[in-house]
Parts: sequence; structure tokens; C-alpha cells
Amino acid sequence: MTLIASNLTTKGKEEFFLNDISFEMSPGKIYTIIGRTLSGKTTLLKTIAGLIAQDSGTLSFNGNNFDVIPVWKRQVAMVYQQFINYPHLNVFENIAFPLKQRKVDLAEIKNRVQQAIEQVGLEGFEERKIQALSGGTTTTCCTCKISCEKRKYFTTR
Amino acid sequence: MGTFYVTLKYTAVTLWSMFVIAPFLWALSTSFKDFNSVTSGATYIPWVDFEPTLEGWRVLLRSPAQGGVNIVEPYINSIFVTCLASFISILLGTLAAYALSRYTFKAGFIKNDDITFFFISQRIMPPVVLAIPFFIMLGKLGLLDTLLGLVMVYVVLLMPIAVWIMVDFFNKVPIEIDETALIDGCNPIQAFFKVVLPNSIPGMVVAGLFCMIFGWTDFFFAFILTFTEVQLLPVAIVSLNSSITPWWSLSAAALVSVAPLIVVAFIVERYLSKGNLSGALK
Repeated sequence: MTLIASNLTTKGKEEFFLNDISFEMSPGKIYTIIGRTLSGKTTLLKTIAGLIAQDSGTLSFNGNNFDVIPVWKRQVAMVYQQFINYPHLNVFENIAFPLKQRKVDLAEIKNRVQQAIEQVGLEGFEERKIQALSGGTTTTCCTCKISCEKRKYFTTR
Repeated sequence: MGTFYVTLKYTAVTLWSMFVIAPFLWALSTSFKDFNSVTSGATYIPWVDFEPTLEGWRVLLRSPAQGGVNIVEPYINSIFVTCLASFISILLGTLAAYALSRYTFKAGFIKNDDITFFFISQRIMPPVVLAIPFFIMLGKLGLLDTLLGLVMVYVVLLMPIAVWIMVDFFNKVPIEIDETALIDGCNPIQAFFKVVLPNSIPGMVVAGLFCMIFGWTDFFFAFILTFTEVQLLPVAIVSLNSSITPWWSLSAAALVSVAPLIVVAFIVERYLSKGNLSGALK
């Protein structure tokens, strides 16, 4: 379950966003990427997630080529700095959305979402629209969505 | 200062309301008049200033043989053409706008902005420029004087409006929403239909409203591309005119023709205020 990046390079018109980046990430560990503004941290995370395709270099996961797997099948979780939720769904539906997408059994979804909601203390907010939540509760809802899924990688920016 | 501001605000609103409502009241009053009431000077209040009559309204339901202009069929035709053309325009326009907003297109010096401008430019050129090409094309396709032909032409005319409004709307939808949907397991098509589209309803409603207004009020193409088989409402209303302008029936027809737009405006108004993207990013 190791994620290996080899010589990842992404170049814009004039400058490199990623310049020959290589690393190895082992399961069960927490890694922090530190760098100044515009140093390519977000580009790297988006490349791992599959949102950006690198110009050269490879990503492999568990010995298999990760590059050929589209973003929606990579099972990478990503929490944005701004904490993205879907405004047209309520709290429960937001948290259940990725599980529904991955065709998890409905009873299982209900069970897991309810458990996650109880864990983070969002009971009573299930039917609320995202617009009606405070900034803090929105953040909780967003992280709750990630936590009730069993994804392989979790990235945040 | 507060009282002055409130007074000023209410005065402005009252004056504007009078400005907007006055033509409707004038048309409503005139629609119940007859020839004498219209030509004998300014009269306003029914039963006091003039004796109301339903003649102006009856003309709209009588057949031409009975000296009237039956507007029921043109009315249904107009509803059909406008609704179908607006629906197709919004459907295609939304898809085109999403692609223009999210993907980069490049063919030589032509880029996304140029393609968007190309769509808008269809509305900049005078309609008369398009009249002859449309006439020849529909003639060759055997679609002159048919509802299908009119729908096709109106889609061409209305889609630029939809694209223009929706490109601007999608540009304001954070791309992070699309990305989150992809990460959550949606493929790009699912991300569009399950996440982006439901949050774009206000934009689509605005675009739809504009399409309906432009489609409903178009006279030029409805007049050029139809003869005897199919007639749309604006053409039917104009055919009311004769050597003596029948202000009473013209007023009734004007009220009838504007009614659907008022109804649509009231229905869609609530969609304009809800479903916004304020909760997407915090």
C-alpha cells in the first residue's frame, strides 16, 4: 500500500510547478509537505488526487501504475482549505454523497453516516441545508464526510 | 437622515411602480371601451366616464369570417414554439457554457473567449441579415410555415442568450465543487449532472426567462417565415389592425399576450432567490 512518486514534473509556460519530485509514502504514516507560497504544494496534492496530470514522471500505488486510474476511482480524499460542501444537499446527504457514488448499500450508508455524525457531534443538523450552518459546523460536516469513508489516502491543503 | 432616506426610497418606488403599472391600467381600461369611448377624449373610470363593453375581447375569439381575429390557435402556437425553443436552447446552451467555462479550447488564435463572443455575435448582427438565409434554408428543408421550422430558427436565436448567461454563471461557480465531486467518486458527466447542474438552477432560470421573453416577443421571424398554415401571436395581434385602429381589441390582445410572461416571472421569482452557492465555500 505504498505510494511512490518518481520524477514528477509539471511545467507551465515558463516555470515549473513540479520539478523532478520523487518520494515514497508508506501506509499508516502522516506526511507533511511544507513550502513557501506558489512552491507547488497544491499542484502536488492535485497530482496525487488525479486532478492534474503531470507532464512526466510516474505515480505508482501498491506496485501498480496510479496514473492510469481516473480521479473518481482513486479513492483519494481531499479536504480543501475552503471546506467544500454541496449547497443543494443537506448535511446528511452531503456526508452520504461519496458513499452513494461508490454504490454502498443504503442501510450501510445510513448506519455509517449516523455513526460519523454522532462521533463529531452533528446530531440534530442532519436535515439542515449547508447555507444554514456556521463556518465551524461546515468544516465539521466536510471532515465528517471524509471520515465515514474508508479511503486509501487523505490529503488536505 | 433615516426618515428622509426612507421617504425618498418609498417615493422612488411609488413613482417607478406608477410608471410600470400605468400602461397596464391604460390597456385594461381601453380594452373595455368601444369606438366612441376611445375617440371622445380621455376617459378613465368605467361606468362613470364610459360604459364598458366586452367587444374588444370578443374580437379576439371570433373567426375572421365573423370580423374577428381568433387568437387561440396563434396563442397555442406561440406557447409551443417559445417553450420548446427555450427548453432546447437552455439544454444545449448550458452544456456549451459548461464546456466553455471548464475546459480549454484552442484552434490557432481562437480560444474560449473568442468562441463565447462568436455565440454572442449572433445576437449583435441585425435580424434582417439572417432573414434571407433562414428563408432559403427552411424552404429547401420544406419547413417554411411550420412550427418545427420556427422552433429551429428560434433555437438559433435564443441559444446565444443561454450560452452568454450560463458561461458567466459557471465562471462564478467555484471549480473546487467540480473537483470535490470527482474526488467523491463522480465521473465528469456525473459531476456536472449531480453537483454542478442542481446548483446552477438560478442561472438556468434567468437564462430561460430571457429566452422566453425574446422568443415570445419576436415578430420579425414569425412574420417572415410563416404564411397561412402557422401564425404566431405577435403576427395575429398585428393583423387586428385595419383602416381604423381598434385600440380596444389591440389593448385586450396586448394584455393577453403579456399575461404568460407575468405568470412565468411570478413562478420563477422564487427560484432566483434560492439555490445560491453561498454555502459551497466557507
